Amino acid sequence: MRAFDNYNKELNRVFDSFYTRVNHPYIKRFLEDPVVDADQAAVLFYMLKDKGYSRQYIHDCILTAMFVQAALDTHETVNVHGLGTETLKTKRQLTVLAGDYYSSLYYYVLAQLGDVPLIRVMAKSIQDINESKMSIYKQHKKKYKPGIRELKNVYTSLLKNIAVFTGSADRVALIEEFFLFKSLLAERDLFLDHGYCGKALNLFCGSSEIKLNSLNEKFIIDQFNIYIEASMIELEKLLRHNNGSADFIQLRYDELIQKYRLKEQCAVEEG
Amino acid sequence: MKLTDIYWYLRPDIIKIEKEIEKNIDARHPVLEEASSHLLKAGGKRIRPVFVLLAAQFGNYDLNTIKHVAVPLELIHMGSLVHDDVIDDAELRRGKKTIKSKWDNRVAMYTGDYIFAKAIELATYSDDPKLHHILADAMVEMCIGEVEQIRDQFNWQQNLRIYLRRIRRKTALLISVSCHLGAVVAGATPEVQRQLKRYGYYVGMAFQITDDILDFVGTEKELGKPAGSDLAQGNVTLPALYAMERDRHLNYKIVSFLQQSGTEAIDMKSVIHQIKQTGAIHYSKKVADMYLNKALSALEPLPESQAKEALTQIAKYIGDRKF
Repeated sequence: MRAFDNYNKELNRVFDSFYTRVNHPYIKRFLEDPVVDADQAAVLFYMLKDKGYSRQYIHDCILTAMFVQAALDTHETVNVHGLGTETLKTKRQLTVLAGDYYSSLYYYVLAQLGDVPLIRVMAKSIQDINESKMSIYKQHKKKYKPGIRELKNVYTSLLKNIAVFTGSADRVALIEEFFLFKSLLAERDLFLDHGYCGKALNLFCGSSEIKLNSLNEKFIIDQFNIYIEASMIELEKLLRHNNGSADFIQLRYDELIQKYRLKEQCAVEEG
Repeated sequence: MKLTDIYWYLRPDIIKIEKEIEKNIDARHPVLEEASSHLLKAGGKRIRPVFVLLAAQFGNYDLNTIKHVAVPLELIHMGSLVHDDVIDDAELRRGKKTIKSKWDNRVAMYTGDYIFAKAIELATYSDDPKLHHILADAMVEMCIGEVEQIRDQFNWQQNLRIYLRRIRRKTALLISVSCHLGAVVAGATPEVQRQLKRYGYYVGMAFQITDDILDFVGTEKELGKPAGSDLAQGNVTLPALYAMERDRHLNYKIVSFLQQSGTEAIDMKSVIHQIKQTGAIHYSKKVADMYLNKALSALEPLPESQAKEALTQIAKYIGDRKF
């Protein structure tokens, strides 16, 4: 298995650029800095490196993908209804504007570089993600019911589209499954610890607004576990064909398995 | 004379642009589709595409090329209105329910994001790399301008420079970009591009200053909201700035109101009356006229044409605007 030492230095350069650019003193007074998904950045790094892209291109591609993700994640936190106190009102207003600002940055950086094709990839990804988010959020009883495909789209359309664009379409299935797996684990944690209703829960319950009771809480946790186990099985199948190109995902998968003690859980359930 | 009368001869092309906008905001999900077209159906002057079309007439006018600018610019404007309504918690726009009111903030955010992304995607079908430099730069500036408007709400320590910078980003920039990009994609000479960019900027500044004047002198019926709404919401505009400089008593009244972030009631009728007494409206009108004259000067070197005449008339229309 390859060493992963170098990627930290390269990614830290990207993260530095990211935090410098997103910094706005007034926004900072009300909002936390956006959180970057280091796994997303690392997967992109290795994918592009393996295809022989230049250091600078890799830097710019990851940076702009992070702006897009930050914009989407920030907008996801805008409260659904109501104003609240003056401070909450200002916070809501700035959450909308911060997301728009981060989004404008991906366009700005790529426009300066003249990379119009990559601009199109980012723009289409944002559209895909919002389509899927809407599918899950506003489920249409009579039309097509969203499923795990929509959830995967929300988590991975950006990476997937970049993969296809840069000649790594063969990695899409693995990328989709890994980030689905990781996101389900994270959302399950947030639900258990804080009662947080994320995309997965929207999907399971057909609604974003549910009154929690012991029955449906059990249902929700069961759903999470079913999908996590299914994703685990699929991931292991895909990783069996790893020829070295998925070493990073293998490493992270192993770490997540250990962190959540998933193999032990399965053994206990199989009893 | 109505604004649309000034550029009546462009009507067939404006209809084509409208159809392009309609075609491009379709979406797979029915709520996203309905929300995206909701704002389109509420109407609007489509003034930014009009500026693009008029500016393009100073170069090689080809609607198939120009639409890659005209449509994205209108979509960017639409997307910003969707998000603005979430920011302002607005229930109505152009007499119809806003997206956030008809559905909720989440639907409005997804719709706005979708429309913005669609706009950028459509712009990428233009071959001209300069287009993206100009447009992206403007989008960053507009975002910063919006953030600073929030920051400056209820800020009594403002001055003319802060106000002008704010309205430049908020209004003038997108109009300037519309004129500039119309000329760019039509391959107009750099000098013509420069003049049209300047024209758009000056017209945009005049437009916003006029809007800010009308907020004090218009009636509720004309404005669709109570007079003095800007100040009531903590937005200190040019007439208020001038009046506060001139009248110490009024200054104290407004500063006290702003310091309380609008939580204490203010007799707006009396404040408006006092603002008028200081000559602030007359002064603000002079500033708006100064920008309009600069806009007309920017047009002077351009060759005589129907487009030049239309741009001249638009500038004069803005100057004469009552509501």
